[in-house]
Amino acid sequence: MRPALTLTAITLSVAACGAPTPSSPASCRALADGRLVRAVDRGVLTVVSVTPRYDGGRIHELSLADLRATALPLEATGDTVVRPMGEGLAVLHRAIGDQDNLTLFARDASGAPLTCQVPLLTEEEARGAGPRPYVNAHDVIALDAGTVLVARHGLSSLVVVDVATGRVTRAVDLTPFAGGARGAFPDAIARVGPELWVTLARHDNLDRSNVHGAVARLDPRTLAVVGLIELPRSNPYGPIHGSPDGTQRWVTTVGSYNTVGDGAVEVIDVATGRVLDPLVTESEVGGNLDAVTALDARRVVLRVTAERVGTGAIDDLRLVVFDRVSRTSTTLLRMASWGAAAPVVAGGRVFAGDPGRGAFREGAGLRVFTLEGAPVGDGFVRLGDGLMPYDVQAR
Amino acid sequence: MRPHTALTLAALGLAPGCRETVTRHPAPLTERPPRAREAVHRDAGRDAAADASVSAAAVADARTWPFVEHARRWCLPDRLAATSYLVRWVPQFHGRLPLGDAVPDIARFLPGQRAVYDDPPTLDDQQRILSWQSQPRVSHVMDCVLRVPIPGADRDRSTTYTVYLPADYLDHPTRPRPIVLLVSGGNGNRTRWFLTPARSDGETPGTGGLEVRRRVDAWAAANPGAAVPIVVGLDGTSDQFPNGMWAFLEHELPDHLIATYLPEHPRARIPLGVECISSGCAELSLALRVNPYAFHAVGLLSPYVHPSGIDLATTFGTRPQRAALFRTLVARHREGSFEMRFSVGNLDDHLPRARQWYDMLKSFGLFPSVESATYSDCHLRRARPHSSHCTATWPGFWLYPNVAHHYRALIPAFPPALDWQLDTLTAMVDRLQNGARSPSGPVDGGVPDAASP
Repeated sequence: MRPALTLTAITLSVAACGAPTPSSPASCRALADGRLVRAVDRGVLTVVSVTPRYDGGRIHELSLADLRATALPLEATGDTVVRPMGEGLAVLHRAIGDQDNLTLFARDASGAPLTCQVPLLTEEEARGAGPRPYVNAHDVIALDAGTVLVARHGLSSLVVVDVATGRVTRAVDLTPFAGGARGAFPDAIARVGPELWVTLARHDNLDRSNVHGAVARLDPRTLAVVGLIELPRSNPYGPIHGSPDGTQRWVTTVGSYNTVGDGAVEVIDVATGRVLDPLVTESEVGGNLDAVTALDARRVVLRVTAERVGTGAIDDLRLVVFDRVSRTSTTLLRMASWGAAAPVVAGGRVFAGDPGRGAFREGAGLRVFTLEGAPVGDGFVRLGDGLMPYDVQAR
Repeated sequence: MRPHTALTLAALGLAPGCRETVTRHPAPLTERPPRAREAVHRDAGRDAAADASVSAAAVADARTWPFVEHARRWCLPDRLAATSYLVRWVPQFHGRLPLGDAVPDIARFLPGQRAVYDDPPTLDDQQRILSWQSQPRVSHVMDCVLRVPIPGADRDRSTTYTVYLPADYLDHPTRPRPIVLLVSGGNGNRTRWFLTPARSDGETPGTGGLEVRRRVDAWAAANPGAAVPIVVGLDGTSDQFPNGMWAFLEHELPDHLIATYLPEHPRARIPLGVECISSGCAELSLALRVNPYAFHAVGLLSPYVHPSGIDLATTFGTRPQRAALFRTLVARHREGSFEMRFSVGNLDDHLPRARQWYDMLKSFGLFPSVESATYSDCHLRRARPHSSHCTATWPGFWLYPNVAHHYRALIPAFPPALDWQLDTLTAMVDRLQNGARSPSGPVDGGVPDAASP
């Protein structure tokens, strides 16, 4: 991005960052009209970025055409993630002070924002005695025009949300599939053929889990678990990716961040549900694997995290292009510290969140490359002082 | 805050002397410049009156507080001198409050009725100590001067410290109890230890505060019956210390503190801890090299491990000298009279070298090896735990996420470090009193010399 463009992006960000739109029952009803399932290619990236102290953040839309950033009227926290949902967005962990929630967002025909915020507890859970349970939602997907499904990581369950009323209508307990762990800890949801697949982290909130991860296969109509795919490693983390030809699904199992060699990108054959040889292992790239995306039929982009040697700090973060045929890797970008954003390939470009340097996160922003690894323009989109990209999604 | 106090604070911020970097202190009564000396003569009668009122008001208590005579001459009770840090801090703290609002938590530690640049303790100060005898007993803080002789010269120099006196100490002044020394780095000073943060971001210079009095009071409340330590705040290294700060830490200050506050106890029976920040840790390292028996608990907050600070290749002497030092520390650790702890930010440039130092000590047996860190206080609830967003802990090593070599690292690191000092040292009181004491010389512990480099 040229300097002038950077300035434009900043100016737009500030100008558009008005007061957040309040949630309303009317917005919830309007959002149930099918706009959350209407396929649309908006040609934008949605970028959540957080402040250097993880105490707040912003959500921007970045045009793939000109890399201009526009702030959305939504607050963000240090845990906010977004999921494209038809014409709109689903935002998890949004509002500060009451962040354990789901927010659905879209614009009406006039461009006015529609915001529907949904608490993620059932009525019974909300009425229960004692401290309010922490949902820690990790993923969300639209089931149809009027209902969405949320993975409640902290409560080892899924819940169905009725969009029109903005309420949870049903919970699906996944603890029977914990495999000996204290919880199933669902992480990512994806639609795979006629089924829904949900990764089960089964980590017991431990760094080093003795229980391997799994993928639960659900019937999307009944939400019954119809099968379980046992993964050969622990700690599945991040989204379920499709291979370019659609025949496989890829799941990163990071294992322990303190151990390089206990994780991989697992490959699951969609037709049979069998786990194949891993796409790549941690040993092959010398670091923990916690994100993958396809660059083309032969290459993938990996996020590789390791200990900065001799420090105990998991801060050696690299963006690596891995050739599945030659089994060779090339480091595209090495960053000064760890950041949460997974790389995204969209519009013929690779986008990577760079958390910047030092306590004040100098140089934080989005790095932009061509598919061949060359920087686009000056290769950088700045989102604001010290704002670290935390989640990047293409719409 | 009363209006006249607010006015005083405002005046402090505007006074020409506010920009000074060297803090003026109450000069000794025997060495005042002529003008001040005249004031002494004028005050002489008032001193006598104050002495009489001390005797008359609370004879028993005054006689059991061994520090009173020192404090009367050299300390500002319930006041902090207008150090350069405080002068920056006051307007920032005051500026965030509506004019005239009460500041109950910090009023005690602000300069009182007037600025104190050149002022010795006044009659008001002396009277203030009398009020400490009232019940219920509470803790107090003083800003004090210690005159340190310059060897070979017929002179001495004023050094400074702040001291927290627990309520328990005032009730039981002869009880054996630990002393904790808090050593500042390059940007802090003895005042900051006791201030309330003026801002919470930890990023604006001159707005910090580590709230030692409040924290130790809370610890005392949570540990009823404990021998609450006396806690001493120090400036960073400077020419204030005529024989080097390491000498001040190693013997000049401890000897003074024990003689003044715990005179019934030999030094070897009093657990002495030091918590240092950054370059303050370099001075502590020199003190430790000179006397490996000087301290019982050593805590390092963001230590300045760099050739211009703590150089692992030279600070501890030659390789055999370093090995001997580390063996001695390990031997003391095994007998229960020495503990050590590191606190470093994961973005701190000194982290690799601090970790190298830790690993050296671990190789000598000061810390056990563990398979992996323990994680707590994760910033991101979605991400799996690791040291970039969680506090990672190994035995004796705390790695704090998302902070660099900066005051902000102290926000998460200092409270547990202080609690560790208080817990560790109070646990040693009985042991040291009942016989176990540091040996008088180095120990060959049979620990392999695996040090590097």
